[in-house]
Amino acid sequence: MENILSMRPRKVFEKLSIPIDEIQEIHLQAEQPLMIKHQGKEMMIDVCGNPGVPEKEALLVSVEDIQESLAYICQYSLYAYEDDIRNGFITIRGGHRIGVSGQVAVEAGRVKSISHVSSLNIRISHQIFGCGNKIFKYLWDDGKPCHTLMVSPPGMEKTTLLRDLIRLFSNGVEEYPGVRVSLVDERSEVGACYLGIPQNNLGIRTDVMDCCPKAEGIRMMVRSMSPRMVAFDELGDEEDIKAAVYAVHCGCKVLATLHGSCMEDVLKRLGVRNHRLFERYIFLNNSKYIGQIDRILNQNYQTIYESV
Amino acid sequence: MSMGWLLKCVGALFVMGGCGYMGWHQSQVLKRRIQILREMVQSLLAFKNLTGNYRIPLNIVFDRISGQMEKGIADFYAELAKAFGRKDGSSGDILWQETIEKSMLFLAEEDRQIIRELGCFIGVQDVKIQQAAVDDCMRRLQERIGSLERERPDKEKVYKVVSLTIGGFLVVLLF
Repeated sequence: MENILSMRPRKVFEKLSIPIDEIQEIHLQAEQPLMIKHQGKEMMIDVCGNPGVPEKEALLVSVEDIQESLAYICQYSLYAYEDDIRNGFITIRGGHRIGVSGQVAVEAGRVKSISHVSSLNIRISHQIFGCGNKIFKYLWDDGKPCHTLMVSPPGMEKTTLLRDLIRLFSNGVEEYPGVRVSLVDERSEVGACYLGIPQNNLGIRTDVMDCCPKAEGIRMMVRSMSPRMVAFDELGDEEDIKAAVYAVHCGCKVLATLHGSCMEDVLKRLGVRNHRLFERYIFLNNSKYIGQIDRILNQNYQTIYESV
Repeated sequence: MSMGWLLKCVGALFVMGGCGYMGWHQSQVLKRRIQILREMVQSLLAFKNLTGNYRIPLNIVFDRISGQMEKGIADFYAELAKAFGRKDGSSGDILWQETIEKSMLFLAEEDRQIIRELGCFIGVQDVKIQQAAVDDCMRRLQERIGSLERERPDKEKVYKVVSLTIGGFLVVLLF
Protein backbone atom coordinates (compact mmCIF):
# COMPACT_ATOMS: atom_id res chain seq x y z
CA MET A 1 0.00 0.00 0.00
CA GLU A 2 2.80 2.46 0.90
CA ASN A 3 4.46 1.68 -2.44
CA ILE A 4 2.02 3.93 -4.25
CA LEU A 5 3.38 6.97 -2.39
CA SER A 6 6.36 8.96 -3.60
CA MET A 7 9.66 8.36 -1.81
CA ARG A 8 9.38 11.30 0.62
CA PRO A 9 6.00 10.50 2.21
CA ARG A 10 6.82 6.78 1.97
CA LYS A 11 9.79 7.23 4.28
CA VAL A 12 7.53 9.14 6.68
CA PHE A 13 4.99 6.32 6.75
CA GLU A 14 7.73 3.81 7.49
CA LYS A 15 8.33 5.69 10.73
CA LEU A 16 4.66 6.35 11.52
CA SER A 17 3.46 4.78 14.77
CA ILE A 18 -0.07 4.16 13.44
CA PRO A 19 -0.30 0.95 11.34
CA ILE A 20 -1.42 1.62 7.78
CA ASP A 21 -4.38 -0.77 8.26
CA GLU A 22 -5.85 1.56 10.83
CA ILE A 23 -5.66 4.64 8.64
CA GLN A 24 -8.88 5.57 6.85
CA GLU A 25 -7.52 8.20 4.47
CA ILE A 26 -4.25 9.74 3.33
CA HIS A 27 -4.51 13.19 1.80
CA LEU A 28 -1.80 14.58 -0.46
CA GLN A 29 -2.30 18.13 -1.66
CA ALA A 30 0.40 20.06 -3.48
CA GLU A 31 2.15 22.56 -1.19
CA GLN A 32 0.00 21.64 1.78
CA PRO A 33 0.70 19.51 4.86
CA LEU A 34 0.55 15.74 4.64
CA MET A 35 -2.64 14.60 6.38
CA ILE A 36 -4.20 11.35 7.44
CA LYS A 37 -7.58 10.39 8.88
CA HIS A 38 -7.47 7.96 11.75
CA GLN A 39 -10.52 6.91 13.79
CA GLY A 40 -12.51 9.72 12.21
CA LYS A 41 -9.93 12.34 13.24
CA GLU A 42 -7.71 14.30 10.82
CA MET A 43 -4.00 14.61 11.66
CA MET A 44 -0.93 16.18 10.11
CA ILE A 45 2.34 14.26 9.98
CA ASP A 46 5.85 15.62 10.26
CA VAL A 47 8.99 14.38 8.50
CA CYS A 48 9.81 12.05 11.43
CA GLY A 49 6.44 10.29 11.18
CA ASN A 50 4.92 11.92 14.26
CA PRO A 51 1.15 12.27 13.90
CA GLY A 52 -0.94 15.15 15.21
CA VAL A 53 1.70 17.89 14.79
CA PRO A 54 0.81 21.55 14.18
CA GLU A 55 0.65 22.82 10.60
CA LYS A 56 4.03 24.56 10.57
CA GLU A 57 5.83 21.35 11.63
CA ALA A 58 4.04 19.06 9.16
CA LEU A 59 5.71 17.66 6.05
CA LEU A 60 4.74 19.77 3.03
CA VAL A 61 3.71 17.71 0.03
CA SER A 62 5.31 18.96 -3.19
CA VAL A 63 4.02 18.92 -6.77
CA GLU A 64 6.71 16.34 -7.56
CA ASP A 65 5.36 14.10 -4.78
CA ILE A 66 1.92 14.22 -6.39
CA GLN A 67 3.29 13.44 -9.85
CA GLU A 68 5.52 10.65 -8.60
CA SER A 69 2.69 9.12 -6.55
CA LEU A 70 0.35 9.30 -9.53
CA ALA A 71 2.94 7.51 -11.66
CA TYR A 72 3.14 4.69 -9.10
CA ILE A 73 -0.64 4.53 -8.66
CA CYS A 74 -1.09 4.20 -12.42
CA GLN A 75 1.93 1.86 -12.75
CA TYR A 76 3.56 4.38 -15.09
CA SER A 77 0.55 3.89 -17.39
CA LEU A 78 -1.58 7.03 -17.22
CA TYR A 79 -3.31 6.08 -20.50
CA ALA A 80 -4.66 2.92 -18.84
CA TYR A 81 -6.39 5.05 -16.23
CA GLU A 82 -7.54 7.84 -18.55
CA ASP A 83 -11.25 7.10 -17.97
CA ASP A 84 -10.74 6.70 -14.23
CA ILE A 85 -8.88 10.01 -13.99
CA ARG A 86 -11.62 11.69 -16.00
CA ASN A 87 -14.18 10.34 -13.51
CA GLY A 88 -12.08 11.64 -10.65
CA PHE A 89 -11.06 8.40 -8.95
CA ILE A 90 -8.81 5.40 -9.47
CA THR A 91 -9.27 2.00 -7.85
CA ILE A 92 -6.11 0.05 -7.20
CA ARG A 93 -5.27 -3.48 -6.11
CA GLY A 94 -6.64 -4.04 -2.64
CA GLY A 95 -9.79 -2.08 -3.39
CA HIS A 96 -8.30 1.21 -2.24
CA ARG A 97 -9.75 4.23 -3.94
CA ILE A 98 -7.77 7.31 -4.87
CA GLY A 99 -9.68 10.51 -5.51
CA VAL A 100 -7.97 12.78 -8.03
CA SER A 101 -8.49 16.51 -8.41
CA GLY A 102 -6.76 19.34 -10.21
CA GLN A 103 -7.08 21.42 -13.34
CA VAL A 104 -9.59 19.96 -15.73
CA ALA A 105 -9.46 20.03 -19.52
CA VAL A 106 -12.92 20.47 -21.01
CA GLU A 107 -14.05 19.66 -24.55
CA ALA A 108 -17.53 20.43 -25.86
CA GLY A 109 -18.72 21.10 -22.34
CA ARG A 110 -17.57 17.74 -21.01
CA VAL A 111 -14.59 16.84 -18.86
CA LYS A 112 -11.90 15.39 -21.12
CA SER A 113 -9.18 14.83 -18.55
CA ILE A 114 -7.51 16.24 -15.48
CA SER A 115 -4.44 17.84 -16.96
CA HIS A 116 -2.68 19.00 -13.77
CA VAL A 117 -3.34 16.83 -10.76
CA SER A 118 -2.84 18.75 -7.54
CA SER A 119 -4.51 16.53 -4.93
CA LEU A 120 -4.77 12.85 -4.19
CA ASN A 121 -7.09 11.48 -1.54
CA ILE A 122 -6.33 7.85 -0.78
CA ARG A 123 -9.25 6.04 0.88
CA ILE A 124 -7.95 2.84 2.35
CA SER A 125 -10.41 0.05 1.90
CA HIS A 126 -11.75 -1.71 4.97
CA GLN A 127 -14.34 -4.32 4.24
CA ILE A 128 -16.57 -4.91 7.26
CA PHE A 129 -17.42 -8.60 7.40
CA GLY A 130 -20.55 -9.62 9.21
CA CYS A 131 -22.43 -6.32 9.26
CA GLY A 132 -25.31 -8.08 7.49
CA ASN A 133 -25.33 -11.22 9.62
CA LYS A 134 -27.98 -10.02 12.06
CA ILE A 135 -30.57 -9.19 9.43
CA PHE A 136 -29.79 -11.81 6.79
CA LYS A 137 -32.56 -14.17 7.90
CA TYR A 138 -35.18 -11.41 7.41
CA LEU A 139 -34.33 -11.25 3.71
CA TRP A 140 -35.68 -14.73 2.99
CA ASP A 141 -39.25 -15.82 2.60
CA ASP A 142 -40.33 -19.43 2.32
CA GLY A 143 -36.82 -20.57 1.41
CA LYS A 144 -36.36 -17.95 -1.33
CA PRO A 145 -34.41 -14.68 -1.21
CA CYS A 146 -36.48 -11.51 -1.36
CA HIS A 147 -36.19 -8.47 -3.63
CA THR A 148 -34.43 -6.14 -1.20
CA LEU A 149 -33.86 -2.41 -1.20
CA MET A 150 -31.55 -0.59 1.23
CA VAL A 151 -32.52 3.03 1.85
CA SER A 152 -30.63 5.81 3.57
CA PRO A 153 -29.17 9.28 2.97
CA PRO A 154 -25.59 9.40 1.58
CA GLY A 155 -22.75 8.39 3.90
CA MET A 156 -24.69 5.83 5.96
CA GLU A 157 -22.68 2.82 4.77
CA LYS A 158 -25.32 1.39 2.42
CA THR A 159 -22.58 0.18 0.09
CA THR A 160 -20.78 -1.54 2.97
CA LEU A 161 -23.97 -3.39 3.89
CA LEU A 162 -24.69 -4.19 0.24
CA ARG A 163 -21.23 -5.70 -0.11
CA ASP A 164 -21.71 -7.92 2.93
CA LEU A 165 -25.19 -9.03 1.89
CA ILE A 166 -23.88 -9.96 -1.57
CA ARG A 167 -21.22 -12.06 0.14
CA LEU A 168 -23.79 -13.73 2.41
CA PHE A 169 -26.20 -14.49 -0.43
CA SER A 170 -23.36 -15.79 -2.57
CA ASN A 171 -21.72 -18.01 0.04
CA GLY A 172 -24.89 -18.95 1.86
CA VAL A 173 -25.15 -19.74 5.55
CA GLU A 174 -26.20 -22.86 7.41
CA GLU A 175 -29.93 -22.36 6.99
CA TYR A 176 -29.87 -20.72 3.57
CA PRO A 177 -27.97 -22.01 0.54
CA GLY A 178 -25.69 -19.80 -1.57
CA VAL A 179 -27.14 -18.39 -4.79
CA ARG A 180 -25.48 -17.08 -7.95
CA VAL A 181 -25.27 -13.32 -7.73
CA SER A 182 -24.53 -10.91 -10.56
CA LEU A 183 -23.22 -7.55 -9.44
CA VAL A 184 -23.35 -4.57 -11.78
CA ASP A 185 -20.78 -2.25 -10.27
CA GLU A 186 -21.06 0.97 -12.25
CA ARG A 187 -18.75 3.04 -10.07
CA SER A 188 -16.52 0.15 -8.98
CA GLU A 189 -17.35 0.94 -5.34
CA VAL A 190 -18.81 -2.40 -4.28
CA GLY A 191 -16.32 -4.86 -5.70
CA ALA A 192 -13.42 -2.39 -6.16
CA CYS A 193 -12.22 -4.36 -9.14
CA TYR A 194 -8.63 -4.17 -10.22
CA LEU A 195 -8.11 -5.38 -13.80
CA GLY A 196 -11.56 -6.96 -13.59
CA ILE A 197 -10.93 -8.92 -10.40
CA PRO A 198 -12.90 -7.83 -7.30
CA GLN A 199 -10.58 -6.77 -4.51
CA ASN A 200 -13.34 -7.12 -1.92
CA ASN A 201 -14.69 -10.48 -0.83
CA LEU A 202 -18.03 -10.79 -2.62
CA GLY A 203 -18.53 -14.51 -2.18
CA ILE A 204 -17.81 -17.58 -4.24
CA ARG A 205 -20.81 -17.31 -6.55
CA THR A 206 -20.63 -13.65 -7.50
CA ASP A 207 -19.92 -12.41 -11.02
CA VAL A 208 -19.08 -8.76 -11.48
CA MET A 209 -19.64 -6.41 -14.40
CA ASP A 210 -17.31 -3.56 -13.52
CA CYS A 211 -17.60 0.08 -14.66
CA CYS A 212 -20.67 -0.75 -16.74
CA PRO A 213 -23.82 1.43 -16.92
CA LYS A 214 -26.38 -0.23 -14.67
CA ALA A 215 -29.25 -0.65 -17.11
CA GLU A 216 -27.09 -2.25 -19.79
CA GLY A 217 -25.12 -4.30 -17.27
CA ILE A 218 -28.26 -5.76 -15.72
CA ARG A 219 -29.56 -6.86 -19.12
CA MET A 220 -26.20 -8.37 -20.06
CA MET A 221 -25.86 -10.27 -16.80
CA VAL A 222 -29.41 -11.63 -16.85
CA ARG A 223 -28.92 -12.90 -20.39
CA SER A 224 -25.48 -14.38 -19.99
CA MET A 225 -24.66 -15.33 -16.39
CA SER A 226 -27.90 -17.03 -15.25
CA PRO A 227 -28.00 -15.25 -11.91
CA ARG A 228 -30.45 -16.01 -9.16
CA MET A 229 -29.95 -12.49 -7.87
CA VAL A 230 -28.88 -9.22 -9.48
CA ALA A 231 -27.26 -6.63 -7.24
CA PHE A 232 -26.37 -3.01 -7.88
CA ASP A 233 -25.74 0.21 -6.01
CA GLU A 234 -27.81 3.41 -6.22
CA LEU A 235 -31.05 2.73 -8.03
CA GLY A 236 -31.19 5.96 -9.98
CA ASP A 237 -33.24 6.95 -12.97
CA GLU A 238 -36.04 5.51 -15.05
CA GLU A 239 -33.61 3.35 -17.06
CA ASP A 240 -32.29 1.68 -13.90
CA ILE A 241 -35.82 0.94 -12.69
CA LYS A 242 -36.80 -0.51 -16.07
CA ALA A 243 -33.74 -2.74 -16.00
CA ALA A 244 -34.58 -3.87 -12.46
CA VAL A 245 -38.13 -4.71 -13.59
CA TYR A 246 -36.68 -6.63 -16.53
CA ALA A 247 -34.53 -8.66 -14.13
CA VAL A 248 -37.58 -9.40 -11.97
CA HIS A 249 -39.61 -10.50 -14.98
CA CYS A 250 -36.74 -12.82 -15.95
CA GLY A 251 -37.09 -14.52 -12.58
CA CYS A 252 -34.11 -12.91 -10.81
CA LYS A 253 -34.19 -11.42 -7.36
CA VAL A 254 -32.97 -7.83 -7.03
CA LEU A 255 -30.73 -6.42 -4.30
CA ALA A 256 -30.17 -2.67 -4.53
CA THR A 257 -29.65 0.58 -2.65
CA LEU A 258 -31.42 3.92 -2.90
CA HIS A 259 -30.76 7.39 -1.57
CA GLY A 260 -33.62 8.41 0.64
CA SER A 261 -34.71 8.57 4.26
CA CYS A 262 -38.27 7.26 4.37
CA MET A 263 -40.83 5.21 2.51
CA GLU A 264 -42.20 8.29 0.76
CA ASP A 265 -38.84 8.85 -0.93
CA VAL A 266 -38.86 5.24 -2.09
CA LEU A 267 -42.38 5.40 -3.52
CA LYS A 268 -41.67 8.73 -5.22
CA ARG A 269 -38.63 7.20 -6.95
CA LEU A 270 -40.22 3.89 -7.89
CA GLY A 271 -43.44 5.44 -9.09
CA VAL A 272 -46.96 4.10 -8.95
CA ARG A 273 -46.34 1.24 -11.39
CA ASN A 274 -43.40 -0.23 -9.50
CA HIS A 275 -44.28 0.47 -5.89
CA ARG A 276 -44.64 -3.29 -5.28
CA LEU A 277 -41.30 -4.16 -6.87
CA PHE A 278 -39.46 -4.86 -3.62
CA GLU A 279 -40.32 -7.28 -0.83
CA ARG A 280 -37.94 -5.99 1.81
CA TYR A 281 -36.93 -2.39 2.65
CA ILE A 282 -33.95 -1.88 4.93
CA PHE A 283 -33.65 1.62 6.43
CA LEU A 284 -30.31 2.79 7.79
CA ASN A 285 -29.46 5.82 9.88
CA ASN A 286 -26.71 7.14 12.16
CA SER A 287 -28.64 7.68 15.37
CA LYS A 288 -26.25 5.50 17.37
CA TYR A 289 -23.47 4.80 14.84
CA ILE A 290 -22.98 5.20 11.11
CA GLY A 291 -24.64 2.37 9.21
CA GLN A 292 -27.04 1.39 11.99
CA ILE A 293 -29.92 -0.68 10.64
CA ASP A 294 -32.98 1.13 11.87
CA ARG A 295 -35.79 -1.14 10.67
CA ILE A 296 -36.82 -3.57 7.96
CA LEU A 297 -40.24 -3.46 6.28
CA ASN A 298 -41.86 -6.20 4.25
CA GLN A 299 -43.84 -5.82 1.00
CA ASN A 300 -46.91 -4.71 2.98
CA TYR A 301 -44.83 -2.01 4.67
CA GLN A 302 -45.06 -3.82 8.01
CA THR A 303 -42.07 -3.68 10.32
CA ILE A 304 -40.48 -7.11 10.65
CA TYR A 305 -37.28 -5.93 12.35
CA GLU A 306 -36.53 -2.88 14.46
CA SER A 307 -33.26 -2.03 16.20
CA VAL A 308 -33.40 -1.68 19.97
CA MET B 1 55.86 -33.72 -52.43
CA SER B 2 57.54 -33.03 -49.12
CA MET B 3 55.79 -33.11 -45.75
CA GLY B 4 56.52 -29.41 -45.31
CA TRP B 5 54.79 -28.53 -48.58
CA LEU B 6 51.77 -30.60 -47.56
CA LEU B 7 51.58 -28.86 -44.20
CA LYS B 8 51.79 -25.48 -45.90
CA CYS B 9 48.91 -26.40 -48.20
CA VAL B 10 46.82 -27.57 -45.24
CA GLY B 11 47.73 -24.41 -43.34
CA ALA B 12 46.77 -22.28 -46.34
CA LEU B 13 43.44 -24.04 -46.56
CA PHE B 14 42.80 -23.34 -42.87
CA VAL B 15 43.76 -19.68 -43.27
CA MET B 16 41.53 -19.24 -46.34
CA GLY B 17 38.74 -21.16 -44.64
CA GLY B 18 39.04 -19.07 -41.49
CA CYS B 19 38.98 -15.81 -43.39
CA GLY B 20 36.11 -17.01 -45.56
CA TYR B 21 34.22 -17.95 -42.38
CA MET B 22 34.79 -14.47 -40.94
CA GLY B 23 33.36 -12.92 -44.09
CA TRP B 24 30.38 -15.25 -43.94
CA HIS B 25 29.94 -14.49 -40.21
CA GLN B 26 29.81 -10.75 -40.88
CA SER B 27 27.07 -11.23 -43.46
CA GLN B 28 25.17 -13.37 -40.92
CA VAL B 29 25.51 -10.59 -38.36
CA LEU B 30 23.97 -8.20 -40.86
CA LYS B 31 21.14 -10.66 -41.53
CA ARG B 32 20.57 -11.11 -37.80
CA ARG B 33 20.47 -7.34 -37.28
CA ILE B 34 17.70 -7.05 -39.87
CA GLN B 35 15.83 -9.95 -38.26
CA ILE B 36 16.05 -8.36 -34.80
CA LEU B 37 14.77 -5.05 -36.14
CA ARG B 38 11.83 -6.88 -37.74
CA GLU B 39 11.04 -8.54 -34.40
CA MET B 40 11.28 -5.18 -32.69
CA VAL B 41 8.69 -3.82 -35.12
CA GLN B 42 6.45 -6.84 -34.37
CA SER B 43 6.80 -6.23 -30.66
CA LEU B 44 5.86 -2.57 -31.07
CA LEU B 45 2.77 -3.62 -33.00
CA ALA B 46 1.77 -5.87 -30.11
CA PHE B 47 2.55 -3.01 -27.70
CA LYS B 48 0.32 -0.65 -29.70
CA ASN B 49 -2.52 -3.16 -29.65
CA LEU B 50 -2.34 -4.00 -25.96
CA THR B 51 -2.04 -0.39 -24.83
CA GLY B 52 -4.39 1.21 -27.36
CA ASN B 53 -7.22 -1.31 -27.56
CA TYR B 54 -7.08 -2.94 -24.15
CA ARG B 55 -5.47 -0.15 -22.09
CA ILE B 56 -3.42 -2.65 -20.13
CA PRO B 57 -0.78 -1.19 -17.74
CA LEU B 58 2.80 -1.21 -18.99
CA ASN B 59 4.39 -3.84 -16.75
CA ILE B 60 1.72 -6.35 -17.77
CA VAL B 61 2.09 -5.40 -21.45
CA PHE B 62 5.85 -5.88 -21.29
CA ASP B 63 5.42 -9.22 -19.58
CA ARG B 64 3.02 -10.45 -22.27
CA ILE B 65 5.18 -9.27 -25.15
CA SER B 66 8.21 -10.91 -23.56
CA GLY B 67 6.38 -14.24 -23.74
CA GLN B 68 5.75 -13.83 -27.46
CA MET B 69 9.19 -12.79 -28.72
CA GLU B 70 12.51 -14.51 -29.46
CA LYS B 71 15.31 -14.48 -26.91
CA GLY B 72 17.00 -11.05 -27.28
CA ILE B 73 13.84 -8.96 -27.57
CA ALA B 74 12.07 -11.19 -25.00
CA ASP B 75 14.80 -10.48 -22.46
CA PHE B 76 14.51 -6.74 -23.11
CA TYR B 77 10.78 -6.76 -22.44
CA ALA B 78 11.20 -9.01 -19.40
CA GLU B 79 13.67 -6.49 -17.97
CA LEU B 80 11.23 -3.68 -18.75
CA ALA B 81 8.43 -5.54 -16.92
CA LYS B 82 10.70 -5.89 -13.89
CA ALA B 83 11.83 -2.26 -14.03
CA PHE B 84 8.32 -0.85 -14.37
CA GLY B 85 7.16 -2.96 -11.44
CA ARG B 86 9.65 -1.16 -9.18
CA LYS B 87 8.63 2.04 -7.51
CA ASP B 88 11.95 3.46 -6.43
CA GLY B 89 11.85 7.08 -7.50
CA SER B 90 12.75 6.75 -11.19
CA SER B 91 10.46 8.13 -13.87
CA GLY B 92 9.14 5.93 -16.68
CA ASP B 93 11.48 7.56 -19.19
CA ILE B 94 14.55 6.84 -17.02
CA LEU B 95 13.49 3.23 -16.53
CA TRP B 96 13.10 2.85 -20.29
CA GLN B 97 16.56 4.33 -21.00
CA GLU B 98 18.27 2.27 -18.32
CA THR B 99 16.75 -0.95 -19.59
CA ILE B 100 17.83 -0.19 -23.15
CA GLU B 101 21.43 0.39 -21.99
CA LYS B 102 21.36 -2.83 -20.00
CA SER B 103 19.48 -5.22 -22.29
CA MET B 104 19.78 -3.99 -25.86
CA LEU B 105 23.51 -4.15 -26.45
CA PHE B 106 22.91 -6.64 -29.26
CA LEU B 107 21.46 -3.74 -31.30
CA ALA B 108 23.61 -1.25 -33.14
CA GLU B 109 23.85 2.20 -31.51
CA GLU B 110 21.86 3.96 -34.24
CA ASP B 111 19.04 1.40 -33.87
CA ARG B 112 19.09 1.78 -30.08
CA GLN B 113 18.79 5.54 -30.49
CA ILE B 114 15.49 5.18 -32.37
CA ILE B 115 14.04 3.06 -29.56
CA ARG B 116 15.54 5.30 -26.89
CA GLU B 117 13.57 8.29 -28.20
CA LEU B 118 10.29 6.44 -27.62
CA GLY B 119 10.86 6.56 -23.87
CA CYS B 120 9.42 9.99 -23.18
CA PHE B 121 6.09 9.02 -24.76
CA ILE B 122 5.66 5.72 -22.95
CA GLY B 123 2.85 5.75 -20.41
CA VAL B 124 1.56 9.26 -21.13
CA GLN B 125 -2.06 10.05 -20.31
CA ASP B 126 -3.17 10.64 -23.89
CA VAL B 127 -3.05 7.23 -25.53
CA LYS B 128 -3.19 8.79 -29.01
CA ILE B 129 0.12 10.57 -28.44
CA GLN B 130 1.66 7.32 -27.31
CA GLN B 131 0.30 5.48 -30.33
CA ALA B 132 1.60 8.20 -32.67
CA ALA B 133 5.07 7.94 -31.10
CA VAL B 134 5.05 4.16 -31.48
CA ASP B 135 3.95 4.52 -35.12
CA ASP B 136 6.81 6.92 -35.75
CA CYS B 137 9.31 4.56 -34.11
CA MET B 138 8.03 1.67 -36.21
CA ARG B 139 8.27 3.75 -39.37
CA ARG B 140 11.87 4.69 -38.60
CA LEU B 141 12.76 1.07 -37.84
CA GLN B 142 11.15 -0.03 -41.12
CA GLU B 143 13.25 2.57 -42.91
CA ARG B 144 16.38 1.16 -41.24
CA ILE B 145 15.36 -2.34 -42.28
CA GLY B 146 14.77 -1.17 -45.85
CA SER B 147 18.14 0.56 -46.01
CA LEU B 148 19.99 -2.46 -44.54
CA GLU B 149 18.20 -4.81 -46.97
CA ARG B 150 19.27 -2.64 -49.90
CA GLU B 151 22.89 -2.55 -48.71
CA ARG B 152 23.05 -6.25 -47.83
CA PRO B 153 23.98 -7.78 -51.22
CA ASP B 154 26.79 -5.27 -51.77
CA LYS B 155 28.05 -5.60 -48.23
CA GLU B 156 28.06 -9.38 -48.43
CA LYS B 157 30.10 -9.18 -51.61
CA VAL B 158 32.53 -6.82 -49.92
CA TYR B 159 32.84 -9.10 -46.87
CA LYS B 160 33.52 -12.11 -49.11
CA VAL B 161 36.06 -10.32 -51.27
CA VAL B 162 37.87 -8.66 -48.39
CA SER B 163 38.01 -11.82 -46.30
CA LEU B 164 39.29 -13.92 -49.20
CA THR B 165 41.80 -11.21 -50.15
CA ILE B 166 43.14 -11.09 -46.61
CA GLY B 167 43.27 -14.88 -46.60
CA GLY B 168 45.18 -14.93 -49.88
CA PHE B 169 47.57 -12.27 -48.61
CA LEU B 170 48.24 -14.24 -45.45
CA VAL B 171 48.85 -17.40 -47.45
CA VAL B 172 51.34 -15.62 -49.67
CA LEU B 173 53.00 -14.15 -46.60
CA LEU B 174 53.25 -17.52 -44.94
CA PHE B 175 54.59 -19.19 -48.08
